[in-house]
Parts: sequence; structure tokens; C-alpha cells
Amino acid sequence: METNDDKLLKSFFSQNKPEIADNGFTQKVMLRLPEKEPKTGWIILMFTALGCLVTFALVDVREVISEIFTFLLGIPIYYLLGGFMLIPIVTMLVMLAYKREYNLA
Amino acid sequence: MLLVSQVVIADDHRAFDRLVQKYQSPIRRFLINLTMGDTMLSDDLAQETFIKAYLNIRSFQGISAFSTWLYRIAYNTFYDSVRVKRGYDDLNIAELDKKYSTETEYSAEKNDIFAALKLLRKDEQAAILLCYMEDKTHREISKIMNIPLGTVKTNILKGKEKMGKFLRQEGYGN
Repeated sequence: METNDDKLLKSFFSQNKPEIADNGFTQKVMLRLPEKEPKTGWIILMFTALGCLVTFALVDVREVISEIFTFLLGIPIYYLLGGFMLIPIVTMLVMLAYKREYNLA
Repeated sequence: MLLVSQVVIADDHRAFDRLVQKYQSPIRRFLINLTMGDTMLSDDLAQETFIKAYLNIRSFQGISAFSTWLYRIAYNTFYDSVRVKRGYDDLNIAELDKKYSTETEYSAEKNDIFAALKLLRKDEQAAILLCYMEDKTHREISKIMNIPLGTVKTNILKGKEKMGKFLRQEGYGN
């Protein structure tokens, strides 16, 4: 429900609501814009993909996979579990570090 | 929203230029009122606001309106500058209000606004300005100021009563 104070304040502020002329403000902002860091993610991605392709071409993939499985089966189960338990901890730490960035949204 | 997408995807400076042109007036007006008419300081804060917006535009999730997001940056920028001035630990709002009310440069006819706003606490000032000057809803104000909806309503109610009383004494609304 609109009170008398509401009406008074609405009318007061609507009478004192100026539009501010730009007067070169936008230009000043645009001149002060810092350079963003160049996007280099694609370079890493390209070299990773290239590395994978070369590996697949040069190495007998089946043999590598079977050796990995043999190696994994040889590890005591509690070592493996310990390793898996690290995943959520590392993920949490990475997320915390990411969240420390100035979150404006 | 198209302009925002152009800036996010293609880092399009022309699109950002248009965004600044579009939003400079309300953001600068909001900051001028928060700084009690200190146009130099408010313009510096407004520039900083837009630079922060440019640098962090990828963190804009589009959940709220772009203007709401900008007001939030502007409000944070203003509050950060207040904290820097006074130090983080001994932030005494009442003292701060006195000290931070810098001389009015904006225009003589705005004196009544600033005199009325000076009666309010900083958070009440911001809530009242966003509600009545910038036509933001309570929910949007809650997002901008990052405080619960109930606190926004309380701030507006208290601010409204104080300002209403002052304005009637000054002969408004008769």
C-alpha cells in the first residue's frame, strides 16, 4: 500500500532526477580500458591434441592400455582408494582458489 | 543483452562503448548522490565501475538485468573507496557519514536532496536512492547491496520516514 511518505518521496525524486550528459565520459572510460590478456588456451589445446595424435601413431595403444591395467591391478587396493579420495579434496581446493576471484555476478 | 554478448564473445570495444553510453547517466547519478554531489569523486568511481565491468563481464551470468549488475559494481566500488578512506577495521558508519559528506559541487538546487540524504545512514541512503531515484524493486536492491530482502525493506521504511519528515518541514508535499 502506498503511504503519504511514498507519494512525497516519489514526487520529490522524480523532480530531482537529472539525466547526466556524457561530456566525454565514455571516451575517458574507453581510453582507460586495460588490455585483456590474449587468449592462449587454444594453443595448449592444439598442442595437447597434436601430442595425442603423435602418441597414437607411434605407440601400440593396446599394449600401453594392457600394461596400465596390469600395473593398476598390482597396486594394493587401499593405495588406489587413497588416490581417489584425493580427487574431491583437490577439486575443492581448486574451486576455492577460483572463488577468490572478484565475484560480481 | 546483445551488446553484452558481443563484448563477452568478441571483446568488441565498440559494443562496450555503446554500453557505457547507455548506462553512464544512471550510474553517475547514483554515485553523485551517494557522494553527496562530489562530481570529481563520483566520476572516478563511475570510471572504475565500468572498467571493473569490462574486466569481469564474463562473470555476468544474466540471472539479473545488466543494469542491476552494474549498480552492484558501482555500490561495491563506492563502499570500497569508503573503506579505503577510513580503514577496514574501524568503520563507524555515523562518523563516516559526517566525514564522507564532501562539499557539494553538483548544483545548488540539489541541496535539499543532499540535506535529506545526510539524515540517513549510508545503507539507508543507498536503498532509498535505488528505490525512489533509480526505480529498482526491493528484490533488485537486495541483489545490488547484497543484503537480505527484509533488511532492504527495513532500510527503506526507516529512510522513508526520516526523509518524509524532513521534506515536510522544508515545505514539500503541502
